[in-house]
Amino acid sequence: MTLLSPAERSYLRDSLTASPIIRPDSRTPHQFRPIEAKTSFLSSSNGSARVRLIDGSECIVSVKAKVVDLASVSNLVEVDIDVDSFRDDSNFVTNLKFHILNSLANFPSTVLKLTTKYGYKLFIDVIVTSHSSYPLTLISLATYLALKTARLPKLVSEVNDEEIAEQPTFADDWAESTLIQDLLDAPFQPPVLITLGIIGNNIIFDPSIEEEQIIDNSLVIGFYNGRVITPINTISLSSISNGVNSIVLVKALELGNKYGGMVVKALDTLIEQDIDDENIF
Amino acid sequence: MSDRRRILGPANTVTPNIPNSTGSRKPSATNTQSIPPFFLKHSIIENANGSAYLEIGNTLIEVSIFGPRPIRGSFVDHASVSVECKFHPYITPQPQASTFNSAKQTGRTGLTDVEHRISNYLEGCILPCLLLEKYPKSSIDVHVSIISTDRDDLKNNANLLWLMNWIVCCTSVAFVDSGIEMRDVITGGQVRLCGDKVIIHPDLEDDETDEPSVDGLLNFMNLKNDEIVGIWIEGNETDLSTEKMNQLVEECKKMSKIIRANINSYLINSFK
Repeated sequence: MTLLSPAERSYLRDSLTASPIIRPDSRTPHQFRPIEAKTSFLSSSNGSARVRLIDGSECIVSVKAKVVDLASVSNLVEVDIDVDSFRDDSNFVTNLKFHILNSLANFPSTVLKLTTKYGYKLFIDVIVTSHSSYPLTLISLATYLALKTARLPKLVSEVNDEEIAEQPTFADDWAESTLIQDLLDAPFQPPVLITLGIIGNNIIFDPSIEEEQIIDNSLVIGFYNGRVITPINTISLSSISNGVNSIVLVKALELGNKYGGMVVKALDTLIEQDIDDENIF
Repeated sequence: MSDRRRILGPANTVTPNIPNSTGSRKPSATNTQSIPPFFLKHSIIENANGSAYLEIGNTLIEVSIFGPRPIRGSFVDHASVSVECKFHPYITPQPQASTFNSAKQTGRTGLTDVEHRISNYLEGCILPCLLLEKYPKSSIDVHVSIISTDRDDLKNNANLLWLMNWIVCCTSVAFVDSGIEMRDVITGGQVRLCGDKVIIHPDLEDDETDEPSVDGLLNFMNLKNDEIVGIWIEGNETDLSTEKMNQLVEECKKMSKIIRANINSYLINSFK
């Protein structure tokens, strides 16, 4: 897809490789595009979130929990992604799914265990209704919000079913449901994935669609517990890409450590301030 | 007001990209002995424009390249690359399939999720290396068949990264064979950093330790200032320090250069 003329490309490249970096939408290098989000609005899901970007990109995530026999399932988190105008088995969609699933590899799945035999399996369903730039960060932020606000019903039956087989039963009162954070007895912060654009020796956060056409390569880093964690991956966002200098990787790590916390903090503030507003659209 | 007394260079100069040399480092485990021997052969498929075959341990990879072929339709100023990596159907389960492949893909027609990811990574590596603008209005198709794998399901996707590295190396030899213009031959290094240890190709014994580790795969264009074309880092290490990252880059670079030297001498001998 060619969006820019050669003259525009050259202009944009010069301003992005300049020092200080000049971005077309006058953001600072580590600034995200403004996002608008809403959580817990799907009444039939355990957790839900919707994130919108200023360019009209929108992503809805729903988290549902199902009680399963632990012996019959291999992993307790399943992700399904649907992107508008892409086939589900396309390379684009399956790679998004791979990255989200991979970032959740460190998910504390012990909290999902109900008894020795049964546990919750989380189904994370993602719909990207519209997007212009690569939607991975958008999906990741929405998944963060949905998981963070997901409520699981309270188990009222016996936890120990080693000797007497028992089907788990749950409290009818939804007010007694708990957040994953409460089950964990520790702050629960699902990892988020941040897209960085690399251009020359410069790094920009959250590249827009125009910037994606220009950058040499892009890096997706995981951010968890105040630090950059694995997975760290390069992703080619346009059909033209270049090799990058190895110092950029270290620089990305430093910048990620420095600014990633702000992203997570912004999301947490968003959850706190999210008031029950019936009219979400 | 510009300086008129001195003769200055033109205003729009570009500083060449010269990497700063890194100081002396502590000796590492990465040497020629630590990489298992591998077998490589190109031009094995007659009707492909380029092909290569690589064998390391139980990992067998075959790559064929078709193109540049003309495409119909509107004009594009550079070639488009399509990559398809496939495991042979009798490789079950595929590496890391239990985590990533969904159950409904058993009676499959298209690629599985792991295959898609491998294809995507490979595409990311070869795009910076090919001179695509030399081939307007054409397409280059890369087909990778994974005939056999070292099937141990290691943590951190280590076996997937190991396989990936050799796919990239084999593909770049196939590109040399195809005669498609490229900037450099891509090779890569894949190491695990576990505490102070550097492990190349971890086995199940290395996997038993509870110590957090980082598995990294980095692919380089070694002749072009060691530019990185692909990064894939996995692990359960939560404390990724700058030193660790530097060490990872250095170790991978070292391994990449050893593999590169091997490929170079093979290519020189085979095109004599």
